[in-house]
Amino acid sequence: MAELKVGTLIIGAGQAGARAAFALREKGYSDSVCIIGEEALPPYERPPLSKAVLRDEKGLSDILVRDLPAYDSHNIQLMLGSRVEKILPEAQKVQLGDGLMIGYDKLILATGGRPRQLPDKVMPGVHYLRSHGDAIQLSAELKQYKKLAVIGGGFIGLEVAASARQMGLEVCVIEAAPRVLQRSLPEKIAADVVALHEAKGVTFHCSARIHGFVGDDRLSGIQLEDQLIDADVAVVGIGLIPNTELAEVAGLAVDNGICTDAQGRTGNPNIYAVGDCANSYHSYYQRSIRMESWQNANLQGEAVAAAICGESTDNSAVPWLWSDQYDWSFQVAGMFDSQAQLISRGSAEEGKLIYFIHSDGVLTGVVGWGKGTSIAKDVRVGQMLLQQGKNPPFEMLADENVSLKKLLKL
Amino acid sequence: MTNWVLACDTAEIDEEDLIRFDHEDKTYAIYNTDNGFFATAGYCTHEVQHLEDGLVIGNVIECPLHQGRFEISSGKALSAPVCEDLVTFPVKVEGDQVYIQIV
Repeated sequence: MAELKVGTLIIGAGQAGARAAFALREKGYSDSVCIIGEEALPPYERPPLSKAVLRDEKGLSDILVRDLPAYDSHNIQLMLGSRVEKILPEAQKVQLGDGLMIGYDKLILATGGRPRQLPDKVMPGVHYLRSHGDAIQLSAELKQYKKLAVIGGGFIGLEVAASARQMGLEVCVIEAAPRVLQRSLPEKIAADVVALHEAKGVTFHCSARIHGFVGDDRLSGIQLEDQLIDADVAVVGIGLIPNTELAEVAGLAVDNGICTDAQGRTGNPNIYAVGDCANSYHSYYQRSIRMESWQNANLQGEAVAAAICGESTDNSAVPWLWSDQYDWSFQVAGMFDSQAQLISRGSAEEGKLIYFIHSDGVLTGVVGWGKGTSIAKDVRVGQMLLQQGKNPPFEMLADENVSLKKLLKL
Repeated sequence: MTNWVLACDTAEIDEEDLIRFDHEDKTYAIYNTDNGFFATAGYCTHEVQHLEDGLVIGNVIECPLHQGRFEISSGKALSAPVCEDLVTFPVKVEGDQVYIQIV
């Protein structure tokens, strides 16, 4: 049986895997590095899939994590279109679908996740959105059909809803919870988001229970408990299931993701896990968290590279994510509970609204919502306030005449 | 041929901040830092995003889109996702006016 040996083997050609590979080189790692990916495409960024790619404004080459020559110049091998069948941790080898065995000194699991699925059998017209291929197929249908139902009112669903409205479709959002973004944001802010979408013509059905897809050869509607939604395309965005099967079979601890310490180490000293598939100890929150974000993929990629290179880092960055909907952008720093208190600065009417979020009198998060990138600076300063453990007086946070940057020096 | 172009008054840029300057068909970012005024190309090298809403911290500009960081004085890319440096331009201050040198 054919056999190869590499220094660091990365399973998963997404953001986290690619970032880990390049971070290794940036830190002077000189052994061989190989990324194995099931898709035939080089690593690409996923945030544009529900936005610019769907609207045909960006092609694959525009969203690559790094262009192909960079892999050559950094001596990073890409094995694309290859599936790993199993990990043999005792032998420090993995077996591919074609039987090839690859030995490793260090193994990084960057296996990502797959969309959580509805129990109904999928029919033509019903889509899930995770890969570039998914986005291309959905984009083609959004150009051909007229009525889109988005199932799931999370960030991805709302981004798809915005893109589809921009493409001229009728759009409704169907959400099982009483409101959208229930797990992510306080109610007031979610209401602002809904108001923007409604002003653009999106309709919402919350607390909605789906009884099934309707249609013969392809989707014609979605049956709710109390009504039939007319739809010729549907996108289901109801969450992500981490891909942990390889880790489980290899005997690694799994609990809503592959369990790791703050540097991405699993219980096996030679195996690490990063990105959407990893449930990692977070030094800032002092508990394990599985995060599905672009920032987290990058930071964890860098953290495992540091660990492999013998450097000491900790995973203490305050979580940060963004979402672009219409010509508005939305940035969130920190984590918070739904009962948190909100202190606002600016207004949506002025195109720039910042919410500082307090839980039990402590600053726990910052959310900005505004046109273009107008809120980026304030959210970033808010993220730094959180990172530094600052807790400025409410009245200063609310006063637009007080420079946020100066609050960093209090 | 090089060309000094009036970009702005010194007072137009807050301390430790930047503004956008458009000239002919190009756009620039002009910075006011503790170490003086600087100028770079306006767009982040990662995506087509102007840096004007970015955060200046000392000699570093962070892109407002993905928090990629550049050293202002040299244009050097400091952190992912940016990996390509920013082009920089010479700056001179005469009186209360900032000029940048454009090739």
